[in-house]
Amino acid sequence: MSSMLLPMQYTVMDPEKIRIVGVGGAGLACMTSLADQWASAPELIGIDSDESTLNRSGAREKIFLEGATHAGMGTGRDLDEGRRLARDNEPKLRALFQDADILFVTGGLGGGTAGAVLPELCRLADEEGLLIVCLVSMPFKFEELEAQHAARESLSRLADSTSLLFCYPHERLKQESDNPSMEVCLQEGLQVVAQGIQALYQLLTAQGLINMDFSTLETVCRQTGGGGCLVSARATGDHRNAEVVDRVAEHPYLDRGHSLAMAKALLVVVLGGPDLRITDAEEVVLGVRSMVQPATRIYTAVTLDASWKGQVGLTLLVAEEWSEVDASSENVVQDETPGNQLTIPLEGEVSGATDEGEAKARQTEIDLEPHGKGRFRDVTPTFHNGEDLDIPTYRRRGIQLAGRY
Amino acid sequence: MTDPLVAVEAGTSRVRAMVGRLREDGNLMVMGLGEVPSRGIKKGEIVHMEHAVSCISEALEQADRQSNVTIHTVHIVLSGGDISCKVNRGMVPVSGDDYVITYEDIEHVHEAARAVSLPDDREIIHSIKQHFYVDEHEGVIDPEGMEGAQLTADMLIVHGVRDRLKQTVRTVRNVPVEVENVAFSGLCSALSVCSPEQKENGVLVIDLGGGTTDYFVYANRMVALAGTLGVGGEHCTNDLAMGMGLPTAQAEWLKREAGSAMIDLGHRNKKISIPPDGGFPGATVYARDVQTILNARMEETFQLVKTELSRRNLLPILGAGVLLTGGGAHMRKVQDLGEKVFGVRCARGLPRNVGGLAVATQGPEYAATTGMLKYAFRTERKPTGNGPFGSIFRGLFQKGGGA
Repeated sequence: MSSMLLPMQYTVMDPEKIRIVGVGGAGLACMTSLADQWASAPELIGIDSDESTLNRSGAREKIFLEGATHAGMGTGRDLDEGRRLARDNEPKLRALFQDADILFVTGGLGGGTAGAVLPELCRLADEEGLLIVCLVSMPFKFEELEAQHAARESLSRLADSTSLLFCYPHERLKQESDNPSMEVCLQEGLQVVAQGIQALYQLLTAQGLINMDFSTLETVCRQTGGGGCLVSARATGDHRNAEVVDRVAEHPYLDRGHSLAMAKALLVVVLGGPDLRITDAEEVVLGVRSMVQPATRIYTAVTLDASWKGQVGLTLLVAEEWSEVDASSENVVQDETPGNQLTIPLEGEVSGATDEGEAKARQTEIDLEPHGKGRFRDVTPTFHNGEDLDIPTYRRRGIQLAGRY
Repeated sequence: MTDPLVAVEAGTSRVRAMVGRLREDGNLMVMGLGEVPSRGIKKGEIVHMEHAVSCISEALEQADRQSNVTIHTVHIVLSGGDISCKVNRGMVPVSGDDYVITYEDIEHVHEAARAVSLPDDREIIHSIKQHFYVDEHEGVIDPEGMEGAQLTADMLIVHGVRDRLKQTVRTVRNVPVEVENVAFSGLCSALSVCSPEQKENGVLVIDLGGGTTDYFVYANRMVALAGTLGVGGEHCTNDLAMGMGLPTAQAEWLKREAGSAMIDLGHRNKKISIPPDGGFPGATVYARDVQTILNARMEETFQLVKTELSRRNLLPILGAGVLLTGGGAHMRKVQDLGEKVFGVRCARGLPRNVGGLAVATQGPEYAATTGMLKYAFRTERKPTGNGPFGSIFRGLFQKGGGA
């Protein structure tokens, strides 16, 4: 490959205007892990109500939540206490958002600090007009009702103010086949969140060869109903392209690949160093494509990072749900990103979002022939809530098959 | 040992006849088994009487020969026909002056609870005692001797479409053999595979049959839900046949050879060759398409059962998880799918406390017939009809014979 890539013109986010914040124990651990693995990381901010944990963390700017009623030792899982702390420290928190456009924020729901401070922080940021990307982990099922309830309450508050909300249920970490120790599992969970932040940050700021701007990202996320799952992996070595696809496919948060197979839409972000070739990007995207249904919508972006020589990263936003875009919003997306509309034109297999939609519509017409009941034509039909269960389920759900029969 | 009894299950894909005795230690000894592929039965309904009669009599002959028992009377496992349930409440004032509840009060309240009004075309199959209320006091298991002014009892009424149930009984009579008793297949499967601890902790039994899926829930040692869906293994076969343009026999082969209830991405480009046979020229299909079609069907089936449970708030009480019986329990990864849908442990349900023929003790598909035998022995020892599941269904035959 000797062709030169000309720099394209598009708006990228100014790194100065992005804030990355970790709240509570899990949020701080995530900042520490980001600081370790990301040499060129922007300023990482830690917020906690426990002074000693805060001081041990890798966050470069530390905001300690002081309160009149506690001794700097956390909130003791009390959401009300957490909310009180957030209110007492409101000026400190608001100061964070000066001259900022985007807030990345992470934490583990279920406890008192992240559970209460995260929603408050997002509310303040929303008032200041920031775009908010929030990544939260949810407690294990065995942590039982109290934590689960608290987490769900916090989550619904977050959904009100955030632009993008990604949820990482710890429960899915359990599905590791070799059953590693809990520490390893949780560490891995942190890694996933950290890599997600890094990938999104790079996507929005770095030199994108096939770019994706925030509004496109937001459109994709809105259509997933906030139910998307964001996972990343990276690989090095000669077989890094195949390896990075396999790593993502086996990701515990994707339910051992099942989520991928059932995905309605995918955002595929390939991250490479200056040595990334077109064939590399193609190999990775096609690898992902081969794991999903033909009807799955795929949005693609390729970004570069000078420090990623010899490495390739893959980030997937997997949407298990998908609500159809109305015509107007689809147009908005296309108008805003002229010339670099998200797709790598490859032979037949991967096509643009709109083409994909048309192909699906055509296919559906063929599929929904009225007498699709085969051998059950002549028996009493099984109707359930207005659905004829004798018609194959996959047809009623509009699931596409890989082969043509 | 007791005298032998015979159970018949006229299923959508197979007709089974089983002869067994009850040993003193309570274990069931299976002495003979007859099994033939079904004809004339779809979704648990008899659609062709002559074909169904010949299948049933062939199965009975096999069981007869193997066990050396001459078969005169049989017990029928019922499925299909929109079997569903309803909780009916009976209420009586306590009769004695001292307000101590007596055995008679309990009889009266049960009578009241059994008096349920159903649509004209429906017939009661079982009336199963749940629990009592003594005044405001809930969840009483045995109220005899307690004090109170008012005694209330809940009874789970399992009912089906009369014509279809009668049709099954009439078909078996045409073999000809006498029909002694009938029971709902979901109840039979649950009786066969559940341990007392599982009944106590809450368990859902799903019988994945050929034409129907029956479900049965035990919670706190009482029956909380029973029902059936007109969807089963034949739908899986039909889905494959239609999706891939295959004849039924090839689709059935494909389901057994390559079927899986979960989509396995490890071999995502694996193809399966279906050998030519007769007029069929052979075909090649993607393994993951087979899995996609089956996954969609099985997931939907489980979801429908789950919806029924959640409507009655039964999902949180499944402490002992889900047990799968019937031929569909053999499908690969179906337990994994069950665990995914219900969020609790899910295992294959095998007949418990059954000896004799090895095959009958090892397969989840024999749960219903072994359960029917257990049920038959249980009710036979209580000829007055005061067994735990009532004996109202006798009315089914009297009306059927008289008509």
